[in-house]
Amino acid sequence: MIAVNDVCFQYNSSEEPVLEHLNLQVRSGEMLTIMGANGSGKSTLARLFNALLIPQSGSVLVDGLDTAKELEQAGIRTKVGMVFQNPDNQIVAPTVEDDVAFGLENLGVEHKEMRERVQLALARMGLAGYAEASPSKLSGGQKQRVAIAGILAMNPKYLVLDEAGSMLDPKSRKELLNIVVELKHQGMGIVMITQHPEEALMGDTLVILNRGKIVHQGTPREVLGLEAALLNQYGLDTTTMSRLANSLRKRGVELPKGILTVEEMVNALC
Amino acid sequence: MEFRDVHYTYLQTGPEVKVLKDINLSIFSGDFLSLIGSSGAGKSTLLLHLNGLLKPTQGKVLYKGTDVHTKDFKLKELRRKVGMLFQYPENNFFGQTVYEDVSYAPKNSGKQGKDLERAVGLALERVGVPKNYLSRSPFGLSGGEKRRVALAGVLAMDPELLVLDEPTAGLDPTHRQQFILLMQELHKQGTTVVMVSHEMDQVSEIGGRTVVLEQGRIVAQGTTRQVMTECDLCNWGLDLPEIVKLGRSLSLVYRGGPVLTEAEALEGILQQRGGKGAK
Repeated sequence: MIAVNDVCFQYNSSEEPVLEHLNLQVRSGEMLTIMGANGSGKSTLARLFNALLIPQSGSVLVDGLDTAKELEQAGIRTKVGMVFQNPDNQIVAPTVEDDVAFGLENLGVEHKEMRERVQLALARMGLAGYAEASPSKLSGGQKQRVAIAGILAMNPKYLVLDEAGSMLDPKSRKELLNIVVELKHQGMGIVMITQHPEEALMGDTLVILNRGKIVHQGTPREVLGLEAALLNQYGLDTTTMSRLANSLRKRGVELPKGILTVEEMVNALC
Repeated sequence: MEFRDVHYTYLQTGPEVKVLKDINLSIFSGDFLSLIGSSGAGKSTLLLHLNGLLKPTQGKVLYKGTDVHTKDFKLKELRRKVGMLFQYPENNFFGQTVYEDVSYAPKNSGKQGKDLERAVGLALERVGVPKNYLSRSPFGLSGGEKRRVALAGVLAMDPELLVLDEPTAGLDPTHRQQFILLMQELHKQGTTVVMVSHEMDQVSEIGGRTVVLEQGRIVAQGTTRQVMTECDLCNWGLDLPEIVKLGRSLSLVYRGGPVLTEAEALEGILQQRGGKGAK
């Protein structure tokens, strides 16, 4: 489990704290989704999970390892993989195979085992035929898969995605989501930061971050079912169908509570 | 502007990559044209032809009937008329102040003194950023503000044609909505807009015309209503807008045609149910 205990964080240069007294847990086989307006502290939080940033007070424990302890940071980084927004910033090597092997090489993993783990990771990401390809020739969606393959090769227990789909086309974004859900079912603990309410529905727990504080936490259905006005206050929105359902109710159409998807809307109206 | 049989091939070391094939496209004054397609379909390459940054390998790009790559054509002037907002434009901020960033382009095109100040002030006003931001650092602004300041830098040139590459990517829903309203307002004021977007819901709410690119070719073009409701976007790696999915499942109709926007779906459902409140 990743446990975030009463964490506060402030950048040296800023006057205001970015995160205040956060408490969160990420368990194996579960997906935690985080939504929040630009500047709410989401990306800072993501960087606390694998010791890229260290909280000023409180603690982040990854399976008991403390991100504040320098000697435990290397162990933490093999347990927690990170995928960022821009695939181009995450590619380091001239071929896909080298790129995926990069982390393992740094760990000093023996050559034969390294090759095996790289092949396996590429296969899991549907990139088996791309080992020799130059990452620069790949599409954005393929590059994100290369980035994830590099992480999977390290056998992490947790995966943190910071708006990893935001630069991808709809199809690639959907593929990425399917991969993440599959990894979750295989037992990985997932943290997914997203701006899309339709994506947030796929998580087990949804947290809303506003100005560095958790203002709502619950199942995605509970949280996205909140009053639209309340979500708007946090710079967020509910799903298109939830908005439409509200408009219909205002015009006198009786509808069951909690309509969030097209399917649910169709069922309610037929 | 008109694209006539445009082909474009990237000639790098290694095999040639045909990025655009046989593009025929007209952009009329007053258009709001959305360009959609999966990653690598050639959308950004097409945009770079709009201000002559790229020259077609074959075919012509015409501005008011003149080939923009002929000797007598003044490309510099075209670039003044075509304002481009690239992806994540705030990554290109360099100035100490908002003023420095917004004034950069008009200054380069020869504006100075009161003229320059007026152009900067007007541009900020159009994007709804208060005047007292002029002396602030652009790096300290919120995500939505940064994006609007970047747009102001483009508007300060008072372009005829505004070209936007994924203008709302990375913005939260509130800022996204604000930015869409802003684009629509600029369009109403007479600016022609060409936008690349992966957000199908956004494209359908905006309306206008839509062009679908797939592997360098135009595979569909028409009014956004035609493209969204009559084409099978899934074939091209795209997704249908939520409202169009709902409209198809329920056979929703608004003014005799399939629904495209949230407002139309609302009226369509009310009409179908014969309920009270239908317009």
